[in-house]
Amino acid sequence: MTLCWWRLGARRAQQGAYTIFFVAVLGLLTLLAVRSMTTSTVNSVRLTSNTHSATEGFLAAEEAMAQGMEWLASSSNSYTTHLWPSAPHTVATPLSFPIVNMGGQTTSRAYTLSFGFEAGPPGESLLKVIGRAASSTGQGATVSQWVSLNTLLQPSALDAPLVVAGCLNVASGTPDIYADLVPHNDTLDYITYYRGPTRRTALNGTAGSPCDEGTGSQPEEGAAEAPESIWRLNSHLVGTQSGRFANSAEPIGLSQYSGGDLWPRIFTESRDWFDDLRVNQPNALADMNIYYWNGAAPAPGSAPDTGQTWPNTIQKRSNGSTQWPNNTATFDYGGAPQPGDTFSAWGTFANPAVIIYRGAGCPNLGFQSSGSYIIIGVLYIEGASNPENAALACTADEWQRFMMLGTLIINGDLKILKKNLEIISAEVGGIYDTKLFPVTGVYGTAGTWKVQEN
Amino acid sequence: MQLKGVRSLIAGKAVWGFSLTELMVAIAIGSFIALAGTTFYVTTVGSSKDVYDAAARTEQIYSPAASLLDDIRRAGYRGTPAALSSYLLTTQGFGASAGDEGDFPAIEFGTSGAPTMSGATTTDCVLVSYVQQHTCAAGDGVAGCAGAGTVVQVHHRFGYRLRNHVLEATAGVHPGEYSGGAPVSGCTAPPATAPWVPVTRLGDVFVDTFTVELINENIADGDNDCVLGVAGAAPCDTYGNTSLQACGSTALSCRIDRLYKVTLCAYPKSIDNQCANDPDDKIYVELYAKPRNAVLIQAAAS
Repeated sequence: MTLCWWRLGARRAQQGAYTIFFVAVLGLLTLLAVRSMTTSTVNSVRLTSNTHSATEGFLAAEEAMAQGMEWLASSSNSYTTHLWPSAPHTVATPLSFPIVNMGGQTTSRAYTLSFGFEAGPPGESLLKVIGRAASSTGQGATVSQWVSLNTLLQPSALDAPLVVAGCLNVASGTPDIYADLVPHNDTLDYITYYRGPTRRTALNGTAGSPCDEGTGSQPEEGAAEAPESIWRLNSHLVGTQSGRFANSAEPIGLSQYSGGDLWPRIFTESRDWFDDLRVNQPNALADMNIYYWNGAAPAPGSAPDTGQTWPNTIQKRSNGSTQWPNNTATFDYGGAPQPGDTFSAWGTFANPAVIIYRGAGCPNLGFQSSGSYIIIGVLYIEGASNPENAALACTADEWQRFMMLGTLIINGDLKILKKNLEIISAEVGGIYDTKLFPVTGVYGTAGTWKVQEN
Repeated sequence: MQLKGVRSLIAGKAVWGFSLTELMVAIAIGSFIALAGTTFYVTTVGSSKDVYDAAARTEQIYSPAASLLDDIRRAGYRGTPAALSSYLLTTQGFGASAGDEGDFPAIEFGTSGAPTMSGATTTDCVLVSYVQQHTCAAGDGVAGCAGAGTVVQVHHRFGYRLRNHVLEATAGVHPGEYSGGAPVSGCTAPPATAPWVPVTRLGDVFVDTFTVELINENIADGDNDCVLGVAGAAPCDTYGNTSLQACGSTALSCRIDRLYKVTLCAYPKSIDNQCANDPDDKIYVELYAKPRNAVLIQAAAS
């Protein structure tokens, strides 16, 4: 009955051996089972994952394209800064899709989104928006769609450099308008200015009576000058040349429309839309490069778009030295920007400005000690009260060295005295594209969505 | 004395060996484990093969289904806006009957033309069209080709049909884009027709059901997006009672959005009409697809 300690110890060792043996066998079986199940599951997951990631890529590309459309519609952004494929815009935050991996842990697959634009035919508000998504593992997709832009400007808003609701009278001075890029000899297929059929005010006669510019584009010899003569416009060598166009740096192409309020002819949105933004969302207005001048123009030294470089495509030459059509579009004041010069203006060539002025008459846009007024875009001037009547009497007798590149609109009658303004049309100035101006809506064109093959 | 010695000997040695009972128990447990392991191994190997076969069958079904979804999504792409305008001018509004969706309908059901909610709504053959780039080859007969190597934008057609429980597909330039004889690729083309090729193998999978169904459409005025048939505030009330058949009249351009359902049912056996009985290894796919390009019908010239 003696219980020896070594026998107890041996039995303990034996029981441990069995345990280890069974555990080892069970462990091996477990490993085998897990391995088999894992292999099957991995294969299934790979199949599913490939299908899933392809769908993800398309969804991400659609998101990129949608962001491109929002980018176009929501601010003063210009499509020209992100042409596809040379300069795409990369979205700062990648788009991530959650993934539950084999260990049950949630990770993510991120797609870098980018979008860009391709311009449609000139003069049409069509753009192709391209969206691309790419993951770090090379998955991704590219989709595109043509969109129609609801631009703030009507399609014809930039057709003429000067638009007057009533009548134009160049009473003195020699203002210049460069309306056309292509020289013509005896034909005019462009418009120097639009005007209405009748006087809107008593600025030059009886309101409601027809505009009277005399005959032709020269002073009427031996006759009293017409109430609304325009022969001084573009005229630099009066009386020294003969012929229809000889007196002119560029012939005048006049076009008449039915008359009335100019706002709906220029803008696609209503005055209420503008006033709502002006009062309630001034930052949104600023984002769109739209300015409101209430009764007075800010000093030219406060022009917001500083540090611009005057392009080589608009050369400066002195008027009168070379007769049109050899003359080149220019602002020909002393101190006006020349190719390569740095200047400040309202608006840029990539983002032209829209300025709405309301007042009792026209603002003083003359030269000041802080500089000259340079506007790139559209300047729309109308009366402070009842502007829809288009009854502004605008006397521009203080527009010394005022430089306008784009379109000047006077919702009433315009009388130019003494001081010369200069206008370069949107076409000559390279901004003849309403897509460059604020966009208030982007609409996909059905039938033009596609998966890009590259 | 001797017995005592043996006992003593046995008693001394037994500590280090196994008794018969122990051996029997060990063998029984070992046999059980070996049997279980073997069974498990055989089952696992068989299961892996089943999984592989199922994956192969699934892939045969899912690949054409995914491809069809992609094609439906791309259906109706007409090219650039200028090409779209040209297409609309030459297909609608110039003598074509109202409601006609043109020479290259985005989606056709069998031989019944473009589907409508009031007409053909289900098919086992669907043809999808959209514009793609085509590199011309000498004598390929594609209209607009100016010689081998030139590239033209033409409508392509992609077809999917069920024939003798095998899914078949076709892809190529739309027959309407040939200036000469075009390959026969319509839904009723005989099985031996070259453009139609099988995309499933009957030995692997028996496709019992393949249907494409138009389950919803939204017809809107192309000018103001007012939904036809729903009276509303002006200008929508003008077209409150107008149907698809008025689209393309002198007064009405239309924009039609459609939603399709694709159903596929297949299994490994070769017995017809078993999907409702849920046979083993049944593969059932039900997918929804919407073309990203709406169908456009332009108003006729007045």
